[in-house]
Amino acid sequence: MSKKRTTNDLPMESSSTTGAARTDGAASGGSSTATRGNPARRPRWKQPLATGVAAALLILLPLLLTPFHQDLATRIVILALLAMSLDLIYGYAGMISLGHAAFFGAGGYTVGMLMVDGGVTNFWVGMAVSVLVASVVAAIVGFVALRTRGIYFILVTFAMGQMIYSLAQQWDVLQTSGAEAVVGIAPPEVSPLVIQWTSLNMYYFTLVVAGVAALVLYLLVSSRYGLVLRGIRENQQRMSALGYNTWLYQYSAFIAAGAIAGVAGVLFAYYSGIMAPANVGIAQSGLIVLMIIIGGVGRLWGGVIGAVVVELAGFLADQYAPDHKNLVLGALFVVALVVLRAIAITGKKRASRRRSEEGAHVHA
Amino acid sequence: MDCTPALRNRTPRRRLLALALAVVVALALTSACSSGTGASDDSGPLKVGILWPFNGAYSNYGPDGLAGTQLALQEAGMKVSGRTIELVKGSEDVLDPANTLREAKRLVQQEGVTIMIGPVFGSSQQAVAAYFKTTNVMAFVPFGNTKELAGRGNFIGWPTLDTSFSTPLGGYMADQLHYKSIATLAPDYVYGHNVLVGATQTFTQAGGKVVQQQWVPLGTTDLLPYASNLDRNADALVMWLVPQDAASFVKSFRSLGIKMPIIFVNGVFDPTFQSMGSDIVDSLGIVDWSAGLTNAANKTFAADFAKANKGQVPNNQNAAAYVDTKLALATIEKAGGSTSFEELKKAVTQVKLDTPYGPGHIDENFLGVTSRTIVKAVHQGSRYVWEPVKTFDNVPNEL
Amino acid sequence: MLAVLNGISLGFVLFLIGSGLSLIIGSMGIINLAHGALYMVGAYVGWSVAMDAGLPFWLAIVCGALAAAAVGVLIHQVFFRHLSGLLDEQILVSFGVVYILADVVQWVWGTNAKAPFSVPGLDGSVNLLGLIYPTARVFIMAVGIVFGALLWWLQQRTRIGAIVRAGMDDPQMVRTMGIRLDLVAAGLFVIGSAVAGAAGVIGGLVMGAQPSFGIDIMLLALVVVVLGGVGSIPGALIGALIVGLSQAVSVVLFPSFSGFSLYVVMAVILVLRPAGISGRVVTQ
Repeated sequence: MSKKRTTNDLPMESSSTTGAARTDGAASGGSSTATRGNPARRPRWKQPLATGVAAALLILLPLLLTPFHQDLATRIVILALLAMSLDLIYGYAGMISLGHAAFFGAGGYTVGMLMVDGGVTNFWVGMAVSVLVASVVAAIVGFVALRTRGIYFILVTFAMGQMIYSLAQQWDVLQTSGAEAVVGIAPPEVSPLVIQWTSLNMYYFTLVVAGVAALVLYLLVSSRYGLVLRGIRENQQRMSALGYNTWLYQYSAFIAAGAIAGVAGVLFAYYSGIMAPANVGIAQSGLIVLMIIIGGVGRLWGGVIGAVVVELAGFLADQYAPDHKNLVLGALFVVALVVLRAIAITGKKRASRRRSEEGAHVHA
Repeated sequence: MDCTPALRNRTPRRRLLALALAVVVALALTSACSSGTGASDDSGPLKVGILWPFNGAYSNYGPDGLAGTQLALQEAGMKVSGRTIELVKGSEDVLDPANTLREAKRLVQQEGVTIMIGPVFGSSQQAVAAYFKTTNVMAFVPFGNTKELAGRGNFIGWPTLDTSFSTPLGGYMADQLHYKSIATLAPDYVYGHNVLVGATQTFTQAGGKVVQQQWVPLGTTDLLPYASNLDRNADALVMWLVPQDAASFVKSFRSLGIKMPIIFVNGVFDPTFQSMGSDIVDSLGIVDWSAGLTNAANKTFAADFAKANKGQVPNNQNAAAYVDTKLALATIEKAGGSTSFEELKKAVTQVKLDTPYGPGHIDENFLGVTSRTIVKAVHQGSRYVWEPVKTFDNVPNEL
Repeated sequence: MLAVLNGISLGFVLFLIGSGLSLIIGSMGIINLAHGALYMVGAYVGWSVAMDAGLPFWLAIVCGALAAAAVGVLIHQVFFRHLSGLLDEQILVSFGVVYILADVVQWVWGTNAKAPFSVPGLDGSVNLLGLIYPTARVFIMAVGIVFGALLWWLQQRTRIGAIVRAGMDDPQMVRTMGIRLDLVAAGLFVIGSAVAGAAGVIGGLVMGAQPSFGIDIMLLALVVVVLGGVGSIPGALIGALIVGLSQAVSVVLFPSFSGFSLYVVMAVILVLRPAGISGRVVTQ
C-alpha cells in the first residue's frame, strides 16, 4: 500500500507537528522536537561548509596526536557511530531503546569468534557475517519489543538487552582462552589492501568504515523512508490511517539500526582486541543514550558530540578521579538533564507543555 | 516543522560552533594530558605503574593493592639500584577489559611505565596481553594466572598458576581426612574453575571421587538454591566463592541444617571473614597467604604494615601487591639496575625471596613457586584467624 | 520441593520491590530506573542499624524504609515532579541517580560488599512440612503475603486506591473531579520508595548489600513489572513468582544458563501476551 504513495502525499512535510495530537508515550522528550528537522531545509551553503570543516578536522587532527590519543580518537569514532545508529530509532523513529548495546555486542562477538575460533581474518567476510548476525539478533529483539510500546517498549528493550548480556556472560562458547570474554582479536586483512597496522592506520580505517556506515544512516534518514519514520514518531495512528504499515517501518528501522550497531561492534573488536559482556550490557546502553541526548536526539551528528563528551569524561575520570568515576558519570547525566531542561524551557515552552500533559500517563 | 525561520537558520552555525568547540575542548584536554610522553630510558626516575581496580566492581582491591605496593616501595626508600622510583596509578576496569587496555596504554605510552603491578583479573590480563607483547613491559600479577599467559615474560605470575593453587589439598583430604567423596562449588568463570583444578585432580589420583560440581553464574544474587541442590552424601564440600557470596552461601547452608564439613579454598578474606567467623569456626581451608601465617617474613610484614596503616591487619590484596612489588625490585637489583626487558627476563628467574607466603622463586614459565598452607578457622582474642595446620613448601606449577 | 520454596521466597523479595515500581510506572508514567538504587540504600542503612548498631530488626526495616523514602522524596521533588511525560529526561535522571548512589554508598559504607545480615531469631531454621528451611526465608514469605494483601486492599477497597486506579485509566476525568492527582502521585512515589527501602533491609537477610544492587536488583524488578503488567498488584505478584521460580528451578535444570533462561521465559510470555500477564495496559 505504502509503495504507491508519492512524496506529495506525505503528511509530515510541514505542518503536522503543530496540528497533530500526540497519542503515545513512545516519542522521546520534549526539548528536541523542533530541532529534529529535515536536514534538507537548511540553507544550502552552510551545511556543506560545516561538513567540510568537520571532515577536515577528522582527517587532519590525528596527525597531531600521539599514538595513545589516536587510539582514543578511534574509540570515539566507533562509539559515535554506535550512538548515531541508536539515533535512527530513538530520535527519528521515536523508539526509546535501552538495549542497543546488544547489537553492538552481537557484531563484535561474531567477528571475534570468527577470528579466534574460526581463523577468519578477512575483513569483508567478517564484516558481512557479523552484520548479518547483528541484524538477526535485532530482528528477534525487535519482534518481541515491538509487540509493546510507550514506556513498556523501554522496559522490554532494557530487559531484552540484558538477555543478550547474560548470554554473553554465561555461554561458554563466547569465552576464549582463560577469560570471561573473547580475547585475541587482531586487526583484519583488508584484501586487496595490505595494511601495516598502526594506531594511525587503525584510526583511518575505522574512520572510513564508520563514515560509510554513517552515510548509509544519513541516506536513510533523509530519504522518504526517514520522513515516514518521523511521521510515525509524531503520530502513529495518522500514519497508519494514511495506509502506511507503521509496524513494518518501525521493525525495519530497528533492524537497520541493529545492523549499523553491529558494524560499530566489529570496529570495536578490531580496535580493542577484546569483546566482554560489559560491552553488551545496560551500562553501555545507558551511556549511548546519554551520548545522543547530550548531542541532541534526532540529528545524526549529535551522536558525535555526545560520544566525544562521554568518552573524554570517562577517560579523564579514570585518570584523575579513579575512586569516583561513578560520581563523575552520574553528574554528567544530571548536567545533561539540566542543560536539556534549560534549553527546553527557554526555547520551546509551548511544545513541552503540550507534551507533558499528553504523555503524563500510560495510555489505555 | 513549525520552528521559526530564525531558529532554523541559526542551527547550522550552532552546529558548526558546537563541533568546533568540542574539537577545541578535545584538543585542549588531550594536549594537557600528553605532556608526559616519557620513553623508557635508563636515566631519570623509574616509573612503576599500579593497575588495579579503583572503581566499579572490586573497587576495594585498588586501595588495598596500593597500600601493599607503597609499603614495599617505602621499605626500599623509594629507590632501586640508586634510581628514584615514581609510582603511577591506573584504573583497572574489572567488567570492561577494553577500558583496562586503554589505561594500560596510558601508563605505558603516556607515563613511560616499564614495570607494572597488576592487572589483577583474568579478563584484564588477557586484554592487555597482546599489547604487552609488543612492548617491553614486565607486569607482576597476583591471582588469575592462567596457562595462556605463562611463559611470555611479560607476565610474572605470583604466587602460582591458578590450576596449581589447591594441588596439595587433594592428597591431604584423602590421606589425612580420609574423605572418599567430595562435592565442589565455585563461580562459573575461569578463575573459579581453575582454582579447584589442583584439588580435584590430586583427590581423584589419590582414589577419591568428585561426586558433584556446581558452578554459580556471574550475577547470581541468591545462593540458597545451591545449598539445597547440594549432594549431601559427599564427605565434604570444597568451595571457593568471593567473600560476600561465601557468607551468603554458608548462612543458607547452615540454616538448611546441613552438617557436612566445608573446606575453603583460599579461606575467606577479611573483613567478611570477621563477620561470619562464628559460622565457620573449625572449618579447614587451603591458602597461599593469610595474616595468621607464622613465618618470619610474614611477622615482619604484618608489623610494618600495621605501623604504616594505623594498626591495620593486612589482607590478601595488601600481601599480594606487597610481594609483587618486592619481586619487581629484587629483579631490577638482580639485573644490576637495568630495566631492559631482556635483562629483566633473565634476572627474574634467579630471584629468591623469603616472602610472607613462605620462601619463593620464579620458575622458567615466569610463574611463582612458593608455599601453600592448610589452615583452620579459629577464634583468637577478638578476631577470627586462619591458623596454620600444615605447610607445603615449593608447590610446583603443573602446566 | 526445596527449589520451589527457594523460588517463592526470592519471588517475594522481588514482589516487594516490583510492586512499588509497578505502581510508580503505572500511576505516574514515571520510568524510575533508580528504583533498584533505593532498594540498595535501604539495604545499606539496614546493615548499619541491625549489624553495626545491633538494634532490633524491625527498627532496621523502619530506618531502611525512611532512608529510601527520604531519597525518594528528594529525587521526586527535585527531578521527577518536573519531568512528567518527558521520557528522555526521566532516563537521564534514573541513570544519574544510579551512578551517583553507587558512588555514595561506597563512600559511606566502604567498598567491601556486606554479607547477609545475621539477626537473632531469624538466623536458624524451622521445620516446614517436614522440610528444614531457613527462618529468614519463611519470614520473607510471610512479610510478602501480608504486604501484598495490604497493597491489594489499599488499591481495590479504599478511596485512595480508587483514585489511583481511575488516575491510570483517565487522568483528565479525575482532575476535573477536583482531585489533586499530582499529590496522589507524589505520595505514591514516596510510598513506593519506602517499600523498596524496606525490601532492601528484608532482602539483606539473604543477599546482604552491594553497590551493584542498583542495577542487578533493578533488572529483576523490571522483569517482574514487564511480566506482571504495569500498575497491577496481583500481576506483580505473579510476575515476581515466575521470576523467582524460574531462577531457582533453572539452577537445577540448566545450571549454566540460569540468568539467560529467565529472559527467555519473559520473551515467550511477551510474545504471547504483550501487555503482561495482568493485561492491564492495552498496547496495540
